[in-house]
Amino acid sequence: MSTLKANSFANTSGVPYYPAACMVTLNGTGTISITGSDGISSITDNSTGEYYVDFSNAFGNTNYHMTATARDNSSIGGSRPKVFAMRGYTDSTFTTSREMIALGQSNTAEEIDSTKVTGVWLKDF
Amino acid sequence: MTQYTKYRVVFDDPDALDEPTKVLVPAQQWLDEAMAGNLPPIWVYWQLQDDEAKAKAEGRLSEFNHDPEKHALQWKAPRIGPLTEEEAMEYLCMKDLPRRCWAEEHNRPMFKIVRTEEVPSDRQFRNAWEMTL
Repeated sequence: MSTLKANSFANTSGVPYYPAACMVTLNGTGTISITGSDGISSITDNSTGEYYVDFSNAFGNTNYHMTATARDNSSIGGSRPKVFAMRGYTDSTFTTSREMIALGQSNTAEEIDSTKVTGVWLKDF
Repeated sequence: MTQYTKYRVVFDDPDALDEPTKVLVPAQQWLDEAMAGNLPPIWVYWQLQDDEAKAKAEGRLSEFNHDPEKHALQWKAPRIGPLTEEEAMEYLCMKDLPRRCWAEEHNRPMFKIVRTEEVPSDRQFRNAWEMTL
């Protein structure tokens, strides 16, 4: 058996393939910070429970897959956070940046912060 | 491990001044790449943003595909060389802040690069934050 070792994969044009294109985990409490990330250049603390993510490199199109989740921290706001929306900076999905994750309380939808918010964006191959 | 980057960017969106001030947090991995000299010229990103904005204005964003050659420039364009952390933050502002924040004239600054410890850690009144000059 042989072991395949590589630091990156690319097509014949030199465009890299990433199994997971972008991912981020952030702590939305206190001074907001990034816990871990790959393929993103920054996050933006927009307001309570609302965070934007900017990708390091633009996707080729808007047909990428995305998901987000947040840790339940009932000591903050007394309710469970729920991901209510993921969208672009205005109303669209963008290839370059400004993907938004919005959290709300599961019972009232009022915006809420979480100690652990994770978003993953996967390239559509 | 939590990334305690040295700087933050506080900014207001000129098109949404009634919204609370926003705080941009750089990703340490991206800063490392910038300081190692692995970034393309900023116009590579602007070109893609412009194409995308045009597609949005024309209502064809859902079927939009970037020009493959322009898209590949993100990896294939000559690298700009190592940046200092401060230069990397300026590059990041030009890449990730809405362009109207820094490219258009306003009657006050719309963004400010600050040290992380200058950003309040108490978020009780987060939605009332305003930028002080």
